[in-house]
Amino acid sequence: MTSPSSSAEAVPDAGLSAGPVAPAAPVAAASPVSSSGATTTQVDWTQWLFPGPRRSFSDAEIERSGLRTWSTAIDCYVMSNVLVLVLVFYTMLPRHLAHVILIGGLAMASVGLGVARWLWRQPTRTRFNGATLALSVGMVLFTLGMVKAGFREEARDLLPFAAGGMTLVVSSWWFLTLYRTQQLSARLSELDAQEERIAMAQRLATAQIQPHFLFNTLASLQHWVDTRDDRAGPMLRSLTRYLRATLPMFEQDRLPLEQELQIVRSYLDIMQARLGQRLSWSLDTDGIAPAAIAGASLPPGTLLTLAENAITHGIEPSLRGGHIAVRVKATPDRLRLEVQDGGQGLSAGACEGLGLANTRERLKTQFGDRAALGLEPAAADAPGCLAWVEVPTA
Amino acid sequence: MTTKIRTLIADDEEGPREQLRAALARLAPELEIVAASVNGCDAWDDCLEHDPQLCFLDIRMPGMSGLEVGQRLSQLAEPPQVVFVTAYGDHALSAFEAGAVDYVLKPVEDARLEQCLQRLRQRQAASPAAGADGADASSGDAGQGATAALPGMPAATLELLRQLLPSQRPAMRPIQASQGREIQLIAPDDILFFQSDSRYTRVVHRDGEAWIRTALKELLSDLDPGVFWQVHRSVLVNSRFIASATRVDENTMQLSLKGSAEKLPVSRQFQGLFKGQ
Repeated sequence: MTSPSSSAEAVPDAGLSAGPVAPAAPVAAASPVSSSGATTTQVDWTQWLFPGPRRSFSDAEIERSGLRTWSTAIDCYVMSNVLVLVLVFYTMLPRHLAHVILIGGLAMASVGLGVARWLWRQPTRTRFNGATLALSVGMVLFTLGMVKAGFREEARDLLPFAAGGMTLVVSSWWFLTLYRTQQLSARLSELDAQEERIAMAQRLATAQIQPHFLFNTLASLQHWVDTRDDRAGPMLRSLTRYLRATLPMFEQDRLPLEQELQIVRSYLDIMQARLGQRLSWSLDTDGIAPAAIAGASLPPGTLLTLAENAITHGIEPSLRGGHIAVRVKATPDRLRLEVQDGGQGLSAGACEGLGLANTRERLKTQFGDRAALGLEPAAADAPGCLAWVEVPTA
Repeated sequence: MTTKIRTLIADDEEGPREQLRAALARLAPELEIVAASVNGCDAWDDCLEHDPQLCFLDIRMPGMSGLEVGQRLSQLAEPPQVVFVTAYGDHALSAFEAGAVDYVLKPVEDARLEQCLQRLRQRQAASPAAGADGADASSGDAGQGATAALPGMPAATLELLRQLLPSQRPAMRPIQASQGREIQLIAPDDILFFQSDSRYTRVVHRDGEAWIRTALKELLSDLDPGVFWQVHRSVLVNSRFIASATRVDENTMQLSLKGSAEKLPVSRQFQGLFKGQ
């Protein structure tokens, strides 16, 4: 049995793990970009010697941003521009150098584009500065080579074109690197904010179920306290246990199965007291090694959601009520949790409410495709429906 | 005034139901609780049996929701006043807050309930025609005339109910009647009428009749009220088979059917269904 103290200890832990980490990420992501762009308060001397964005992105981050593809339209655009530019000035160029400039221009453009793709994939300032250095060294060597080979005049004529082309290429790389960095970090912080919103919405959605349950429970409790009914004491105890376990529960990513079972137990205890003869329930963990239960954990509220559904859609709408059977079964590598109710049964075209969609989403976040959730008619000849969840234990 | 206002309370949970009963006893001794119903079907049936003047209906109840019961009540010849009881978090609550509907929240607080009762009393006092109406309608006991002073359901309430209730009903399922080892399926379209007996419900259809164990009040929510009209506490008739309605005397009306020689009674509350044009 889970002692109440262990669930209480979970509070500060949950606060540390779930609280600051998520919101901190986008802040950290945003700051380097803004500091490299706006150096109003403090001059960053490293930018003079080693210019470029300070932030670098891991492969996982770029993968997550989903902005991978380099558009071939850019290749076509740059190449055709270089071609047109050279052709337009063809007649004005020194006659004997025209073909050199044409071929050299196209070669430089394609090298520039190759490097641009390389920068696009990983826009770091190491790459940018490396590429700039390599280009400069290449140009110097090429010019020296021409001089050495006796083309001193031609080299002097080519120099302005080479210098202009190089400036153009380096500036393009510079802007590309900055643009790409901005694009990725903006996208990543957008995704972070979105995830934060979804997490918040999920927490709220799950919490939304509670007020109705809570106030109806209080209504019964109020009456039993007023009339000094013996049911008040156990009911209050169950409610306390339920609240203590559920209130911090949604702050955590996963909850030990033992604790989840305890929540479901107190929930069904309360509902049993409220509904009286209309509800009976059982929890069956027979045939499972206690170690298997102790080691297992789930997204919080998984089993509770199934139990709440069984009550609100199975037992409460039924005139005669019914039985709820919660079963935990284990295979060597999987754990199966079942909630079967003997109530209304699935109405035609029954759709999964928000609770199940949330649960499925959270199972997927935690286990990927290895977890499954299902909802089906209990049996051919029995009323009610069966909801189940299967998770890997390994 | 010696006669009390006949009041019905309905909640499927014992705790809230009894809490409301105790609070009403404390705050409004002029009310007499004539029935405490445990689900929507019972609430409707108890209304027909006890003819209350005031109803406290829980929204979420099995069988029929409080809203559905309220809507059915609104179609009676003399609908009672309705106060809805709901818990925080109910989807209807926001609509109630915006509208002019009488409602109280669970767990019921004395101050809020007192406010609600005050409003009912004011409405009762501000309805000058009520006394005369009551005297007119005093069909049976003399006491009824003096206290049937609560006016009908406000139009705003009706409009709100219409909005809150789902407009589309699921298709009617066939009625399953077991005869010995055989289970007979009867299409609702073939049914002339249902008539409740003490323990069973009689189903009269085109090819004969059958008996089922489901109570009439529990059948109601499965059947389209546009097709099947309740004309009496114990009679539900398929309107397509009604040939004529005959007034026998001031209080009695009878239905003749196509395809059956049987005459069906129409109780006073439902006689408004047959007005002539």
